[in-house]
Amino acid sequence: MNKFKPWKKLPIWLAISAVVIIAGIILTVLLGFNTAAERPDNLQLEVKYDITVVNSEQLQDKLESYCEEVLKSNSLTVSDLQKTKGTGESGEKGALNYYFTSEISAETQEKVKTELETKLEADNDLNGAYTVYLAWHTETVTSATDYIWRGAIAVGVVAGLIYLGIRFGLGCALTGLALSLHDALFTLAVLAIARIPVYASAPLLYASVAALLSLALWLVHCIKLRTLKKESETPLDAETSVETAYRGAWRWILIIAGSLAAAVLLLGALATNGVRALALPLLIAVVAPLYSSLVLGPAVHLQVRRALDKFSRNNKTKYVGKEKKADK
Amino acid sequence: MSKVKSAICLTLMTLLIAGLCFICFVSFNLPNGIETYNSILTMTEKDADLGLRYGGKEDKSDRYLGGGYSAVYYPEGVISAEEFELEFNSHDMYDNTYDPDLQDILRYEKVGNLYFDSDKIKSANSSGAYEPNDDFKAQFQKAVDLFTARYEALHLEDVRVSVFDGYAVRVFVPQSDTAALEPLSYTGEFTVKYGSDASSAATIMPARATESISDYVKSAGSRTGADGTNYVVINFTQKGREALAKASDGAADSSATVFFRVGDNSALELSVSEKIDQDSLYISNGQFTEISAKTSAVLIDTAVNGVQTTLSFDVENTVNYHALYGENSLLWMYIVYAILFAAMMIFFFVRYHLLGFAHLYTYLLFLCGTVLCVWAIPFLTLSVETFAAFMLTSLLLCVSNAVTFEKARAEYATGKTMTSSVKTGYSKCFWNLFDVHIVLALAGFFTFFVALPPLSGFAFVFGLTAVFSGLGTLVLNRFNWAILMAYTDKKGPFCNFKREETEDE
Repeated sequence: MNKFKPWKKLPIWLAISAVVIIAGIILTVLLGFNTAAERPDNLQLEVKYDITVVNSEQLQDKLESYCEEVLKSNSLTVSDLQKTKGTGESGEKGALNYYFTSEISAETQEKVKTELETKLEADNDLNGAYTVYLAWHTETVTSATDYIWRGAIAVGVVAGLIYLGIRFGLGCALTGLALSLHDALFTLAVLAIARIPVYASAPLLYASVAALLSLALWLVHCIKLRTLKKESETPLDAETSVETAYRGAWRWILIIAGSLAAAVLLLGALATNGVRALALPLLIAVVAPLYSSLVLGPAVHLQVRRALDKFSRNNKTKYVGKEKKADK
Repeated sequence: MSKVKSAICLTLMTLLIAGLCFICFVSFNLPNGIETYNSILTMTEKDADLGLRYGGKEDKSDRYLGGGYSAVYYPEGVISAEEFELEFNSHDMYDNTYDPDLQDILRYEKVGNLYFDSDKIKSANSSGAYEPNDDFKAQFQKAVDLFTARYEALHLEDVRVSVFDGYAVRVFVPQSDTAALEPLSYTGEFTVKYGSDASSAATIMPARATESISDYVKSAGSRTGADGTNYVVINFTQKGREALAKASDGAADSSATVFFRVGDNSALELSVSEKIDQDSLYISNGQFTEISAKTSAVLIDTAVNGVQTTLSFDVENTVNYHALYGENSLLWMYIVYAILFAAMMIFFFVRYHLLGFAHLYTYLLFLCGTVLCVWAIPFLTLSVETFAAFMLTSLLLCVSNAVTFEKARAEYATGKTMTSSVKTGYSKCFWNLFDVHIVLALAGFFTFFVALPPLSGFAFVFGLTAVFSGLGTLVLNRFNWAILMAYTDKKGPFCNFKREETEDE
């Protein structure tokens, strides 16, 4: 990393980001996010049982094993299983809900039902009238509170950036703004392009994490830049200060992002399917700020610094002394 | 700091942390075998996604324990296959006596997984299959739009509305918000009646068949007062205000009730003992929770301004889900956290030896403070979102503490005393760490003020724990360091700090 000079390759980074973000916007408009994790359009086999008869873990496990046997013998892949134990109060029943995302023909549905009924009839513990009830259901989710974009992340990040501008200067705030915006959009774009299954309300959360992390990682750069400014006796030119700050910051950035990625991976590896579906896409919200703060940030900041330096040079008024009166 | 002062501080700090850890994390059965001592973490509200299996209490108390309820709204004249079969099989087919219930059930025809009353279906197609008539389809679509709008207007996390088996509506609400399930199924025209009882009360809005309720009522909303009282606010037009004022003119002499009704169901009732003459009516029955007030307001508002349908619905098939993400979600989250905690402590003890205790004490106070806040602040729940925010700021605290230790290490290496190293190290990074925490806390809190759930919960916890992390690293960690250092004469090895080696010339 010590020989790597990302600030010299700004067009490449801009091109990569532009391609990803534009493609992401187009796909989001055309297809939206892949909310498969929410099971927006699903088929389910409901196996409802009378909790007063199927009243032990043993019987419930037996019922579950019958279902699994029949589904397996019909080569059906279950995308999710939801169990409700029920209390028996007010006739509340227990249920096993098997969810399927692929289409299953009406014949196969009927076959599965018949085979399961046959198995249950042959079992003395489970063959009573209304002990177990089987039904196939379809479900299409209509609510979508996720798309209520209130600019919340933007407001939060701008508040942080105003403070950043006051404490670290306009250049740092402008670069921070660009990076936060970039990372939020980049994260959403990758989710849209890769069609990663997410919960309906999750994209906003991922964008928020990306923007906040981007702000945190950019702060590491800002701190190094300020320290450098304080320590150097003569003002450094834009490229030297960006390079020196980068050499001091990249390790910390890698440590922070790496630890976070490890935590997310661990959560994804160990958690239940539901949590995993929420946790693993978070990796994108960690990788996007890592990319931007390691390569895009220094390159953008160099241009911002140069522009600001040029602006301040042009606006510097020179004292030329009092205008002399022409001798008459 | 002297050794005596240090010993007192360390003992008090240890007792404080032990006490906090006990009340936050330890649950056990009391000796009587009936009651249980619940930790703060156990009593913390769990998100519907995580449920109650671990860390919750499987009882029927009114506390929110995670998970939620789903129910199916069946249109009138539409029943589930299960209900049909149950009804059908309860009759004796070989009994020739006339059975009106059997005749009723025989009117139903199968449409997909549901059974429809014959007046709601078209005649069978060539393959013998039935489908609902066009009017039913159009009205059902309106009902779906209405229910979706209502549940979205609640702005609750995890709420879900779906079309079930083609022509029924399934809704899911978190366990804390089940008050919404029944009222939000009401459909029909919104009317306001005034009288001594519901059956004899006169309709005052709309007073004539040619008028609509929007001539009288503008909108409805809910508010929470500074004292915590929840209100439903109904905003009237001038005509509505006059109609209510006229009706309640004699209320001082004989008290009556204003009945706010949606279709045939009561949305709200208000006892009146004096004339009401105002543009906005604040109604509080003293029992409104935030969600029940919001539900009534959304019901009235959508009945006035929303899509209308002629269908009415029955709420059935209510099912309790313990955890949407799977029954062991919470357990696995705890396990992941335990592994990360262990990894963090191994790093600190290996790199900084006994100075790791300073970080441990700081971190435990940070952890207990967060758990107490999530438990005590009403709108927060333990969810994957709040967990993610907590993990982010945990990392912030760890990095900040590591930065202060590294700065002091660098100073110590140059030959300074430990006290001087700590002082100089802290002074070098104090404002940098201060800035990082302030920026992140500001970003978190500002996001919270504008966001909707679930982002708002994430943002608030992020902002709050960023403040805790700042206090922890800049104040507590230094204090812990000072009291621990008083115990040892070999301060360098205690912290695993080494002097720079210089070559003799």
